This record gives sequence, structure tokens and C-alpha cells, in this order.
Amino acid sequence: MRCTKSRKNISLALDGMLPNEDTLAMEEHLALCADCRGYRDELLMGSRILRATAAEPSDAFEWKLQLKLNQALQEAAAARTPWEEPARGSRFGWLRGFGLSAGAGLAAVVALSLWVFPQGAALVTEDPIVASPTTLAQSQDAPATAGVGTTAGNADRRALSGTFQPLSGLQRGLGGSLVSSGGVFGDAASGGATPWDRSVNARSLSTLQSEIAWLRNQLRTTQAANDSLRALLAGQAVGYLEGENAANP
Amino acid sequence: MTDRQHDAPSPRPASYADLRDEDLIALVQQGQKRAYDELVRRFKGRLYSFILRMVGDPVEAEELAQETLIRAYIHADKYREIAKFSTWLFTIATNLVRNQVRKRKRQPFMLTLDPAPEDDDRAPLDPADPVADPTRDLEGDELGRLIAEATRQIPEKYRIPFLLREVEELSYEEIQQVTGLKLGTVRSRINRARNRFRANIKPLLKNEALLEELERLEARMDADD
Repeated sequence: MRCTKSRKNISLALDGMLPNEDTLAMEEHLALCADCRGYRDELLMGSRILRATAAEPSDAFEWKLQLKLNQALQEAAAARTPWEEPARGSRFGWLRGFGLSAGAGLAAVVALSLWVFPQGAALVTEDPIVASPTTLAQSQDAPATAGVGTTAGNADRRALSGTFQPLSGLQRGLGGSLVSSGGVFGDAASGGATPWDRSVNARSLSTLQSEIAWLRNQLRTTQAANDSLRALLAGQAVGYLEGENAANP
Repeated sequence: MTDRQHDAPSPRPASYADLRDEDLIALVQQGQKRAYDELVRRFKGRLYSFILRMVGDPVEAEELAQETLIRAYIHADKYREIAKFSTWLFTIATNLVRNQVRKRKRQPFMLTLDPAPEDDDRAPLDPADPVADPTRDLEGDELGRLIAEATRQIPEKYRIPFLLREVEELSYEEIQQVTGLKLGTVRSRINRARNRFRANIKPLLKNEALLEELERLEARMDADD
């Protein structure tokens, strides 16, 4: 075997890619050729040096990677959003938006109505406790031993106990009534009112009253908006029909 | 990747370190970020080292290694286990490196002190180079720098398959997948690059200090393993 051929085979043999018969021939040549043995040793040394001198990245590598990855993900998300929305748009896309707005307006009106007038306006507007703070004082002077709804004579106290608790929006919506949701407030009422409770309750009452006034105002505004919306819709329909009628008398 | 299903995680393995790379990337596809962390831990050094030997600049090498790992995460759902994960990852890295090298070549007014153009066929280092002085003492960092220099004098087209084989220990078939070359070309390029590298480092091999340094580095690697 010539040295040129032997050296090609040495490289393949180092990678385990040399067939057995060629390996035997190469080994025979190496036994006789000091230059080729030297060549093989230098190749082996080169591999050793390369592996031993592998560099390591800096300590900041991972957090920099994390930062860049977050940025890349945000950019990918941002790049996706703009074409997803308008891609569905069409010549009548505005109609969809208009319908959604009108629907949302109507839903808001219905929700407000249910919220403010859950079981009829009388519960809020005509309730003697809410309407008149003097009734509150009378009620607080009464013995606080009776539970909620135990007798018909305790109806005002039951209403009071409901009114004086701070209400969350969820409780208002789900309780069905601002003043008589005994299931939620019954336990607090049966414990009796302390002076601290009274001051808290008085503050709650005044907050509630101002909130009701605000809600009424909101309702009026929304109803006005709803009326104009209806008028607009009705006007469009009439106009179209009128035009159609004019064209086809 | 951003569409990955984070709401339906699969059962967590006892230890990510025990899993194969291919199992880890499958977990990444299911949204398990810790599996990705493990892949980063395994590959960051290998990628960095490979890229550094290709581009020569530590900052650039780190950026490209990070870019490789980011692309692997973002496009994890495109990985199929028809190839090893390492092959797929090094394909990304190799493409990035090639783009970077191309970009550099397009910068006509960039001045460089690097005496080695990509396809320069000069064989050994300049005799005036410190590598050629066998009596010179070598520090660990300096040894790495000299070897990096000797590596970068191998033309890029030979260097990629050479490093993938010598350092990353990819098989010829895997190198074929990474580079898109024919098997015979892979074989001959590795052989040529080896021969070139051997010639480049030959002066160093007479340096006793280098051999001691090499043994010290190898001992440290064994200890780390």
C-alpha cells in the first residue's frame, strides 16, 4: 500500500468507517512505515487538542438567552395579531361591529335594569329603611335577639340587616334583591348590632344611597342612548322600505 | 411554539437529566419549559464552542448560539424524530453560521487584521507566529487561542464537517444531513481538514508545555464528567 492511500484510510479508520480488509492492509503498512505512524499520531493528537480546548460561554449566557427568547416570543405574538383580525374582515365587516355594539348596549341596559330593579322598583325606592334614615335609628334601638324572618313583625329588621351589609356587585346580581337577601346576611343579623356595627352600617347606607343615585343617572343615560339607537335602526329600516315602496308602488 | 398546549401537561419525568435529547424535545413540544432548560444546559457549550471555531469572535459566537437555541424553541414543533436532535440543532447552527459568514463577505469596506481568508490554501502557520516557537510557555487560555487560530485557517467548507466530526462526534450520515453534502464529499473534506489542521498545529506538538497543558485539560475534563 502506498502512503497516500494509507493516509486516506487512516482518517477513515479513526472514524470507524474503514472496512475490515482495508484496516488489515493499513495496519500492515503502518507496521512498516514510520512516517504514516507519525501522521496517525498527529491526527490523534489534533483530535485530543480540539476536544480539550473547547471554549465555554460566559456566565451570562443563560439569562441573556432567556431575555432574547421572551423578546422573540413577544415579537412572534405581536406579528401574528395584526393579520389575524383583519383577515376575517369583509365588505360588511362594519355591520358586524355595529351589531355587536348595539347588542352590547342592549345587554348593558337589561343588566342595569335587573341590577337596580331586581324584584320591582319598590324594593329599592320605596323601602322605608333605605328611604328614611330615621327608620334606621328606630330599628337599631329595638332588641337584636330575633333572627332574620322569624316573625312578620321583624320584617323591617330583616330588611335592615340586609341593607347594612356592604354588598359586592356579585351579591347584588345574584341575590335578587338589595335589601332582602336573607341567605347571605342572615348570620350577621342574628348576632346583634354593636355600636361599631351601627356606625359601619350608617356609612354603608349613605354609600348605598349615593350609589343608587349614580346608577339611576347611568340608567337614564343608557336608556337615552338606547332610544337613539332604536330610532336610528328604525329610521334605516323605514328609509329602505320607503325607497323600495317608491320604486315598486 | 407559542401555540404549545400549556393547559394539558403530560406527567413529569423523575429527572430530566436521565432523558434522551429526543425525549426532551418531545416534552418541549408539549410545553414543558424545564425540558428546554435541560437541552440548553446540554448544548450551550457545544454550540458555543462549535460556532466560536467558525466565526472566531466570542461575542458573535454567543449571539449565534443563543439564536440557535431560540430558533430550536420557537420551531420545536417542526422537529420530527427522523433525525437525532443534535443533528437538527447543528443544522440550525450551521445555517446561521453560513449566513453570518456570507454577510461578512458582503461587507466590502470592513478592515481586518486576520491574515487568513476563507479559501486560503497556505498550509502551516507563519514561522514567525508564536505557535512556531517550541520553547515558549503556554497558558491555558493562550493554548485555546492558538488552537482556535489554527482551526480558523482551515477553509470554511472543510471546517464545518471537520468540527462536526472531531468535536461533536457526529457520524458521516449526520454530517451529510447537516451540511447537505454527499457522503463522499463529507469523507474527503474531513480528511483534507484533518490534514490541514495537523499541519497547522505541528509546530505546537514539539512544545513540552503544550503537552503538559493538554494533559491537565484532559484531566479536568475527566473530573468534570
